[in-house]
Amino acid sequence: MKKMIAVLAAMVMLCCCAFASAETLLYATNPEYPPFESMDDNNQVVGYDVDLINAIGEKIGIEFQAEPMAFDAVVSSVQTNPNMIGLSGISITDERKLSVNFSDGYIDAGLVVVMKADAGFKTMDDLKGKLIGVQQGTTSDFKAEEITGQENVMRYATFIDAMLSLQGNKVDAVIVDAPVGQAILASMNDPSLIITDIDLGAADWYGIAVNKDNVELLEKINAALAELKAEGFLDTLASKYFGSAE
Amino acid sequence: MIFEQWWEAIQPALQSNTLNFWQTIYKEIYLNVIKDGRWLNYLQGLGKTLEVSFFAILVGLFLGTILAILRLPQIKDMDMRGKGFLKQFGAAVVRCLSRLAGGYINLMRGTPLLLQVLLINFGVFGSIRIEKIIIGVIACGLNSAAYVAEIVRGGIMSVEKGQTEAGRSLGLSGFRTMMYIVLPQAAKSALPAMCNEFISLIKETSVLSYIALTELTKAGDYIRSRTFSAFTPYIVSGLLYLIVTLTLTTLIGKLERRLRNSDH
Repeated sequence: MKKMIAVLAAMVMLCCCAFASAETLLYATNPEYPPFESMDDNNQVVGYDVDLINAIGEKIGIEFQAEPMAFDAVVSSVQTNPNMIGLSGISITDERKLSVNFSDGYIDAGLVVVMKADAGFKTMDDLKGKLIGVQQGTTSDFKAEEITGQENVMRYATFIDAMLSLQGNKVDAVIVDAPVGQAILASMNDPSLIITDIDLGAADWYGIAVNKDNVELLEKINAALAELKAEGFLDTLASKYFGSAE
Repeated sequence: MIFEQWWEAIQPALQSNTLNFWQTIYKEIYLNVIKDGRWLNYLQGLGKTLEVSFFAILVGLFLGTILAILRLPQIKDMDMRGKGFLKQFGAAVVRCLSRLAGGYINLMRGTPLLLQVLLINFGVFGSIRIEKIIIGVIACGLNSAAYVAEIVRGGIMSVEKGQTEAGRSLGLSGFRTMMYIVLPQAAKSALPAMCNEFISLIKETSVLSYIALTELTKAGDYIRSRTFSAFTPYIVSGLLYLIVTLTLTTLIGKLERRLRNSDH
């Protein structure tokens, strides 16, 4: 009996130690969004966001681990779990602010229109009534709805699906975050798809989503972000992933 | 509107993050069903689901019945030895078709519907602009046909051999015996299993959301991507599916009882 109690006590202590030694938090992410997050050949999530959160983690003494999921699910996971943050190239919008808190923006992505080289769209008005492919629930989705009307937006699970549908003539154009669009086009290597000069006039800041009940963590993250910005780390990241500081 | 008034009434609690249980439920319902006429999105989604399911069931029934007949023992091993060349050739063709039908059923039952949908969307109709609903009807119909074939074959084989013999000896052709004597009786005994298949088909049309067809599941998804409610839109979609399938079950149950009247 004594032995058993000793063993139990040891186990309990071990558990406590495991928690106390290194605080680990999960971050919800949709790793189908290069260059912000994607799976590498070893099934690890890599990308801009991963480097960023690791740098933040170092500053505030928390180890962050990726929890891959659909983009749709990222914000709601954060909303329902106080110990989870969302980091998946999430644009800060008013409607999302109803569900979660956002850190300060860390990059302004901006949206671009991708079309077939022979489609010849020149202005936003050319896109009216055309079928536009997007990833569901992204700012591209909202923008496309504004331009072409709700029923003409084809909402795919990933931007990659949307691009493939454009390639297969299923939609007339795709609206996508600029860095992501460039990365996908580069890897698709299809000269018939080009990025247009159409200016959608949308600033698009990405932020880190934090549960509304975890204000303490939000403040820590914002402080770390400000430091990283001052140290020039964000510029380093931008030139690493986009070739130029934005 | 009374809904707007209630919404205004819970604003103070919402801002200070102190909603009680009922207020939270109302907030979810308001944001996910009432606001901006979002309930219309569900109904439109439901409409598409019903449209696809209806036509897919028709395709499945038609194609499935043909497949089932091809799979019958007397067709599979059709033997015209000692008859004229034309008849022998015809029998060989039929036997060949029967093998193909078997292969088709194995293929469609043995691979996930989702893969079939994606293949038909990105492969078969790779670079053709075509209504998503048509792709859905084709994919779900072709898939359902395989299951319907086995159900119908079971039904046909449950009809006693004596029925066929009676029909033939009364001077009906093989085709007419099948159409007027065997199939009606087969339909009756296959009805419960068929009801099952229809219900699963209606639910399985949800995989069409992968090709950006805004059916009922996708409609829930769409709302969710606007309101960021973790699960409320799915509950609304689920309830609508339930209403449809329960209605179908009731109707088929009634039909079954009607048909049973002749069993005395």
